[in-house]
Formats: sequence, structure tokens, C-alpha cells
Amino acid sequence: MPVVIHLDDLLAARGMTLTQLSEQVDITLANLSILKTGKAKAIRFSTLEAICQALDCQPGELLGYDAG
Amino acid sequence: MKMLLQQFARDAKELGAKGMKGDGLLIAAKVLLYILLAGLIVALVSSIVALVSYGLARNSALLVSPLDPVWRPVSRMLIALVALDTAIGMVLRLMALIDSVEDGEAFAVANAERLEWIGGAVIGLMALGFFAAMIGVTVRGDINGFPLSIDPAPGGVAIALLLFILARVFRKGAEMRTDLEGTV
Repeated sequence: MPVVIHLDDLLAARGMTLTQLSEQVDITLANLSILKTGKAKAIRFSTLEAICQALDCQPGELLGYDAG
Repeated sequence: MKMLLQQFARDAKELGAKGMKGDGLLIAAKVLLYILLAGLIVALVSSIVALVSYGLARNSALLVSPLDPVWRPVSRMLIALVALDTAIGMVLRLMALIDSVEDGEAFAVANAERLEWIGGAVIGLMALGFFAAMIGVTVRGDINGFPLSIDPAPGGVAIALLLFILARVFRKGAEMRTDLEGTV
């Protein structure tokens, strides 16, 4: 899929693990893993909001578009 | 990895809990279907025994008058065999469908296929009824008071249509479920 998720980079920049994020945003680790590995088919605004709040970032930093 | 597995187990459990285990209607339907299945199996076995013993009686020329037309009872028994076999297939599929509803996995392609099969079977049984009526054979009987008959009833078309439409609904539901499972 041309839409890429930069969750790994954001987590690394903040020195946070996926488990810590899942505890903070109250989203299951399994769902976050699906998101991180690019296997997700859709993302809820509520999920986006929770992640952006926890990582103090903009949706644009989390999502990218790779046409190639 | 271990955490992930644990989470998956927890999620699966959560999904399972969303099933309908212990639902009164489903339990009642299952009990009825088990009784029906037992009756149908008894009827199927009896039909086979009847067919075999008719053949034996005819061969020994003891019980059956040689003037009786052979095709009538034989075709009646064969029609009954096909119908019973189909009915058992329908009941088994319905049971599997109920099981999947209990497990909270109702919207699956397998269920759409089951409903389509049952719909096709309804049409098939109806066609069999018309065929029996056409050749002038009545197939009617009862197993311990449970009536079984093959009649040319055009009402079956409406039921079959309903089943085919329901199958579409289930197919669409399975599609939506897959989408939802990919939503985080």
C-alpha cells in the first residue's frame, strides 16, 4: 500500500516502545502491531487522535504517501 | 513476542465472549434439529431396509404379487432416499450455522455457502415433489408420529429466494467483517 506508517521512527525518536504506547493510548498491542507493520486496512480518527496525543505529533508525521 | 501472543489470546477470548453461547433460541433450535436429525437418520435407514427387503420379497415372490408394477414402490423408495439424504444435508448445515453463530463467527463465507446449499436443496426437493407428482407417486410417511412427505409445494420458491438473499447478506457481512478486522 502506498500509505506508509512512520510509527517506528516516531517511537524511536521518543525512546518509547510499542508496549508503552499501547498502555498509554489504550489500544491493544495486537492492533498497534497491525498498524506498525502496515497490515491495517483502515485507521479510526479516534486511534489517530490517541496516538498523536501520546506521541505529541501531527497525523502527517505518522502517515506518509509513497507513490513509488 | 510472548506479550503479543498473550494479547492475541486475550483478543480471541474477547471475540469469543461476543458469541451467543447459552442463547435460548439457539439452544432450542439445536435441540429440535438433533431430534429432527435422529428422525431423518432413522427414516433413511428404514428406507434402505425397505428397498432391500422389497427386492428380496420380490425375488422370493412370497409377499409381492408379480402383477404389481415394480417401478412404483421402487421409485417411491428412491425418491424418499434422495429426499432424506438432502434433508439430512440441510439439517447438518443448519447445525453448523448455529454453531458459528454461537461462536460469534456468523458472518463467514462458509455460512453464505451453507445457506446457498440449503436454498438449492429447497428447490431440489420441490422439483423432486413435482417429479413424484408427475409420475403419480406419493411419498408420505411418519417416523414415530413425525410426518415426512414430499409434496409439490410452490411456496418453496419464496423460502429458497429468502435463503439465497440471506446468503448474499452473509457474504456481504463477511466482507465487512474482514474490513473491520483490518481497522485499528
